[in-house]
Amino acid sequence: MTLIMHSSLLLIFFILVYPLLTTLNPNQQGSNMAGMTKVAVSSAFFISLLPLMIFLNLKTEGIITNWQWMNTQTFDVNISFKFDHYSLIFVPIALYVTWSILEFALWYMHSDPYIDRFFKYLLTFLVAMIILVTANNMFQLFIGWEGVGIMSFLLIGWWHGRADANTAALQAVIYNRVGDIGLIMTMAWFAMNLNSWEIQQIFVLSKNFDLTIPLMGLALAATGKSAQFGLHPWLPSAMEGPTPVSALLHSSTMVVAGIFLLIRLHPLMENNQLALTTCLCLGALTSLFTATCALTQNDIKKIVAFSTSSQLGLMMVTIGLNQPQLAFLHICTHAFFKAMLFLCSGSIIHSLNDEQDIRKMGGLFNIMPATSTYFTIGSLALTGTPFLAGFFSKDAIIEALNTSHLNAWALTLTLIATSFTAVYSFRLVYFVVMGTPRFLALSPINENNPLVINSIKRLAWGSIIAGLIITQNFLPMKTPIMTMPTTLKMAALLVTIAGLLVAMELANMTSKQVKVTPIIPLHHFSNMLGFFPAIIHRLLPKLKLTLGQSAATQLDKTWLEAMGPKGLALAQMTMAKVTNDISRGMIKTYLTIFLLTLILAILPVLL
Amino acid sequence: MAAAYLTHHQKVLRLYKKSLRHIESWCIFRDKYRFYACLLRARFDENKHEKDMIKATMMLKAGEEEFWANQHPQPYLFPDSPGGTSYERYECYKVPEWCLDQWHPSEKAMYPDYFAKRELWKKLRVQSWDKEVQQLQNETPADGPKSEALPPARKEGELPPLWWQFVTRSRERPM
Repeated sequence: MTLIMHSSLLLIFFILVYPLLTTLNPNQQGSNMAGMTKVAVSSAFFISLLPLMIFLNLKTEGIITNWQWMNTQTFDVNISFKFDHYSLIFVPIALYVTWSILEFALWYMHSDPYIDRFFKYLLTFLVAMIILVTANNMFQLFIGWEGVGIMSFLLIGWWHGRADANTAALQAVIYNRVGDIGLIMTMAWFAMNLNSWEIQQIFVLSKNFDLTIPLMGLALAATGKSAQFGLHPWLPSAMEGPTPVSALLHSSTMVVAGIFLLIRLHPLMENNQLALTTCLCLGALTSLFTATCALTQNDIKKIVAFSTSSQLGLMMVTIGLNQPQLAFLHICTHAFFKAMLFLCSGSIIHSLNDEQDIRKMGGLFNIMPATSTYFTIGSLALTGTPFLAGFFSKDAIIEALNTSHLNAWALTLTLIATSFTAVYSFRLVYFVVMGTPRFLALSPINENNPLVINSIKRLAWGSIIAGLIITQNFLPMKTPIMTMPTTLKMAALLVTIAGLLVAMELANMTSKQVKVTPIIPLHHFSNMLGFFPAIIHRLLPKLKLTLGQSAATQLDKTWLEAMGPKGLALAQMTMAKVTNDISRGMIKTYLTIFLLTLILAILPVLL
Repeated sequence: MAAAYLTHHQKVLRLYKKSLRHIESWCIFRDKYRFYACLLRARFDENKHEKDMIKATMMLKAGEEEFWANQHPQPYLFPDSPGGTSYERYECYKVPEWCLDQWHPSEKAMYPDYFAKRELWKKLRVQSWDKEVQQLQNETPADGPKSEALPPARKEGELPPLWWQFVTRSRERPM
């Protein structure tokens, strides 16, 4: 059985890498890279179901150590893959979502002359992500981590003729780099203190250590990669890339890499209260802040991006609650409905000739019924509608939050963020799908292309049944608390319904438009993203440049010039000028000075 | 006639258009927008017969300040306009025309008619270049050109100056 499992898993790798190798061929005439990639990913998905079934049936988990890469007498770096509960569930889900997204991209990017290169980048990203997820040691994880970061840069800046796209790509790379500092610090700490980068060895050896430093490093890494508050502006800016990129990278797979890292190394965090509280509070703050920002955005992709950021904050909260499995469940369900929301928005954008502003969309329910239905299903799943995918993970998280002993501040923030989720989801659906059209009626909008409809349909099935399937088949590792007061049990649902009612009332008020502008300070705070990017993107470079300037003038320039020639010359000049100015052509002054200097010269002789 | 300064008329019209666009960003539904647009138009029309320039300028200043206070932080921009979502998106696919000269002869042989005609066009360009430069030198005033607009061809049988750049510019949406 283990042989079947391990061979199928390695087969997945080879199937995914094969299209990349065909791009090395110098004769690229007639190569159908795009179609081949889609077939490769779909076949890899079906093959990956086999180890998943074996795991379901027999609970086999495996570690394959393939190659001893850089081994010295004291330190080992191997290539080893770990196939446990987390990676065995995540790989099929990632492959399924990627399959749908690639099929969608065949339609979305069909007029792009470099579509093969686009698919190559997406496939490289997928391979890096799978390396990250199946890594058994920190070095391999780091390879995957950097890989997804670089592919994110290349894909966000796909339309590199656009200045904003290049800025956004650079922003993504720089913010991720700041997070990477944390990861590298953690790896260095492990190498120094535990003498290993293998995960099993780290877990065994770390029992008696004070793990605050590496855990803070890991938290910083997750803040950078998963866009927590403080290092979050890159995620909405990353919407400059094409929609398939946003769907794959910045909703389902890359941004969960940080959370996945924390889930993998969770046994280290269980006993460290500081790390847990940091994750909890940071996650709650992120969740509320980004949900607030999403309330007044007008670009459809930015709203979904902020929604992703908010859900990532929720996942961070779950980690802080010592429930890694729930966080992982939320990762899996979130991948489905978030990718579906992005694909639906891509379909809408393409049909409306690149119109992304929801102020110029409307009434799409009559014109694009399938897309708007799937869009609504995705939004319902996002808000945690009972028995869709999001419900199983979100409701469980909120229940765990309500029944654990922790600070009420994080709890309040998370509940408010949950209600905001309902608000902006309803706002999105109201402006995009309902009402009357506000766009030009010229373009022929249709949904006839099977590439689009089949891919979104597959994700819709996933959004509906994935939560049920995963929870029915996998027992929780930590016993959830089953008894709680009815209010706490219904808290998530009540808060969501309250948000929905508020949103409906606000939409009603918008449709009446009693005055032109709303309450300006609140709206501007939310719309300008809390002024965070506006301040930080100007303040930090200014501080650094001022530091550089002061170092260059006060230190370098002083030592090189002012201490020696220029300073001396300046002093001489000043003294000469003073002496000169005292006695400008006045005979009496000349004679006085002459007398004074004479006395000064004769005085030592006299004495 | 374009000059270095805006006239009062131009400033008022620019304020009016800006305000209309921002009202459109705030009022999402068309009928509500139409209502507030009509109110704005009435406010502008009330004062349009003002003869006292000082008062008119003070009203314009007050209008600009009101605009600044009530503007939308993310005004609606058309996708292809500067700042929009697909502005300059296809710049990376726009290849300059001199790259055609770099093609291999076997590739050029696939389109013989086109490249033959291209040779004729290039000869024409070489011939008319001196005359274009002469015309531009004659027509530019001593302290530099006043605007970016190029003059048309003046004599019979001549081509407008710098016509090659215009004729061989890339498509707006490259294929």
